[in-house]
Amino acid sequence: MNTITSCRPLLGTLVEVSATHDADEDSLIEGVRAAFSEIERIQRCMSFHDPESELSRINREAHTRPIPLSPDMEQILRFSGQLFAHTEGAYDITMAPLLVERGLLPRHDFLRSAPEADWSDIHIMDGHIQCRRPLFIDLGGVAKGYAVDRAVEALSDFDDVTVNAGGDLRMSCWDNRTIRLRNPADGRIDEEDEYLMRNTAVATSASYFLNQQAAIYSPFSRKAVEGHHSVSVFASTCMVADAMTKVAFLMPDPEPVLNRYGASLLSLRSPVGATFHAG
Amino acid sequence: MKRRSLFKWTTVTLGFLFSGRVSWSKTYLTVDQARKMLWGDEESFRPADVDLTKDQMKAIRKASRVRVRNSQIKAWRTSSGGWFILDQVIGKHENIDLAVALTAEGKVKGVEVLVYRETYGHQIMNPKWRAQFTGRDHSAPMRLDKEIKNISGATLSCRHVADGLQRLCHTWNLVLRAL
Repeated sequence: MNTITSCRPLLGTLVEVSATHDADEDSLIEGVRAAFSEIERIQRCMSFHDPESELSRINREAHTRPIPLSPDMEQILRFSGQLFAHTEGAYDITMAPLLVERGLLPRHDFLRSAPEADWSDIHIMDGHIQCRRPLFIDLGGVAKGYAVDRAVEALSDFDDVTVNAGGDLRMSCWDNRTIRLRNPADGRIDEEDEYLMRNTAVATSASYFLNQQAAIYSPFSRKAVEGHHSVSVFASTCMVADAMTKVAFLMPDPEPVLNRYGASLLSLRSPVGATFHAG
Repeated sequence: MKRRSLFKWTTVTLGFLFSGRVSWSKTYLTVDQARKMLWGDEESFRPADVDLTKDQMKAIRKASRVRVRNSQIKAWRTSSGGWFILDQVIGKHENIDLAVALTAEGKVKGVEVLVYRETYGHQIMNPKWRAQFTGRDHSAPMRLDKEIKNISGATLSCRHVADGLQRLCHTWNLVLRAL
């Protein structure tokens, strides 16, 4: 059994791909390259920062005419629409204008947004998207998790694969494995914070790297969610885990939604003390 | 490429920068593996280390707006005119060894993180944690530099890596392209 672990800057963070297989080093390197190709592909598709991404094309043109959707984009938009409905609007990818206003997303000159535009203005049909009013969307709450899922799938023939995109993590063999979490007070690693994996994927959202203000904005209050805590969600896909961390931050009672998606929650408060929610 | 000299270089820098602060680290690819990962099997490499003059360092800093900490560049030239460079970026809490591939036109072809280091949190000032070093039982295993795996929780932004790549691209433009 050989193992290769590689780490590259991608998706605005550091992405690790770890592959274990009964094969020579060259085969492992090939496999890891394939996994990173998937990450890069999803970045070209879903990056808000890249003005040439598929997402930017949608943001630039979907209010003028129907724009064809790649299968990945269609999947993630449909998922986001369902989650918007299931969370009664708490999970809302049309919050992007507020994030641009706060300087958390780049202000591309092609971005247009009508004040009352929302999800109801988005129509997805026959593999195309069209918006009734100018609006733009951001997939930052779910794209990393989605990219991790694609990368792990690219290595489905390997014995053991772990992909970790800045904390959005999926392990093909997760039984009895543990993860480390960062102390919510200062975002650092302490010796004690080790937890058992409860499913194949986990994602964590927290406020520690943005002066205690997570870049998670409530569509209702239009304010950033505050507090010194972190939420980690375990799920069967990293896309779901990623999206559910925002749900956990934004809903006073996220459990029904978490249960519906087969997700379970672990939250840490500062000073550190873990609370587990059954799910 | 001798791994030993790279190790000495990084530990000297590490000691200087993280003096007194406890840190953990994660090692990824070796230099040879990174070279294979970035360039495949197509190219051959010849050593091409560069020593920057003070004027060159100043010019690079002015053009890139990023500080140049090392005058010595550990590099190889590829048969197609590209560069394979070992570099290091330093942030407040983290310190990263990189391998960077530049094309013959000075564009970034790929980046691999070789070693990632980060300081521990203020928890280490916790008496219970410190007791493992001052306590009576010296047979207890040392937990420093323990391999930290599978962290769920955002790393710091890639700004320092992005700055480092910016600095390297200007280094290519001002110095390497003429070599």
